[in-house]
Amino acid sequence: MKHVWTRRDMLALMGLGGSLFGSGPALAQGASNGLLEKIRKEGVIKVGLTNGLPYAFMHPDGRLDGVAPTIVKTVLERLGVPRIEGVVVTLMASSSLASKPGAGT
Amino acid sequence: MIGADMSITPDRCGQVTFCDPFTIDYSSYVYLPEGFDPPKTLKEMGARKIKLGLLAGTYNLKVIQAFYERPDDHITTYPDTAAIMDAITAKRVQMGASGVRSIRQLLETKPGAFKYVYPLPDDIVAPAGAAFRPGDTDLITAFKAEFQKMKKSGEWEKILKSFTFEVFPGKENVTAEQACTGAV
Repeated sequence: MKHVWTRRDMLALMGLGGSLFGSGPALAQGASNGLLEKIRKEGVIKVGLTNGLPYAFMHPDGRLDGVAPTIVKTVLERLGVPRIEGVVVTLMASSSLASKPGAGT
Repeated sequence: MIGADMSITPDRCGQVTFCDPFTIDYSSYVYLPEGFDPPKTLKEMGARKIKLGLLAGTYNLKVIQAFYERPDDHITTYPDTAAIMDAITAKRVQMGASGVRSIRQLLETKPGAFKYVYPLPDDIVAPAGAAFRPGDTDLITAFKAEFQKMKKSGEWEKILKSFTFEVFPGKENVTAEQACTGAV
């Protein structure tokens, strides 16, 4: 069973941008920060996910599985980013944000 | 990328930027069949004052509540699907709502005990997709464009079906902007 992402969790993840995503502080909507070029050069992007098949799942060996990672990986490969690294987030249930039925992401 | 697969809700749309939905799903409504005639719509559910268990914070809570005259008297929230199933078994509620994939998994361990209706025609959908920081505009723009190509080529649908997801007629082209209204 996956858990609901809380507002605090999302903001924490966003705040990790500088180190987790290699892109520095978030910019205002509409501005470009060159992240795509950066991850193309590095060949990798880190992606947050909660474990719960068939939505998303990271195996013990780091392999990503599930519908969302499959789509993300396919798209990013075509954008010139061959590798995605999963960052599994285990979160507490919250009634402050809605969840998809049964999955809770 | 903040999340590979997050529910797209109005609240979240104020904090992150979403790609168009990867998946769109409805709730399934579970019940014990003995002596219970399941409602065919949410409207009927509310009119019959059916005692209902929902996941805390579920995406369609407000929509369902609107069908009940006094929702607090008949709707109870639970932390997870297993707790909802326990509540149905103990007859604290007559029906419970959860994702159809969660329900199918649980029913594999208890075949014949429960039945479910899915989807109900007046329910709203739960769209989910990739979430980005609003400032990552070059990545977001490129990602959205490439995802649209996947959808047009049929590759997206093939991936969905390989993971047991469905493409609902009329919901194939829901955009992130539409999903962000919370009323798709």
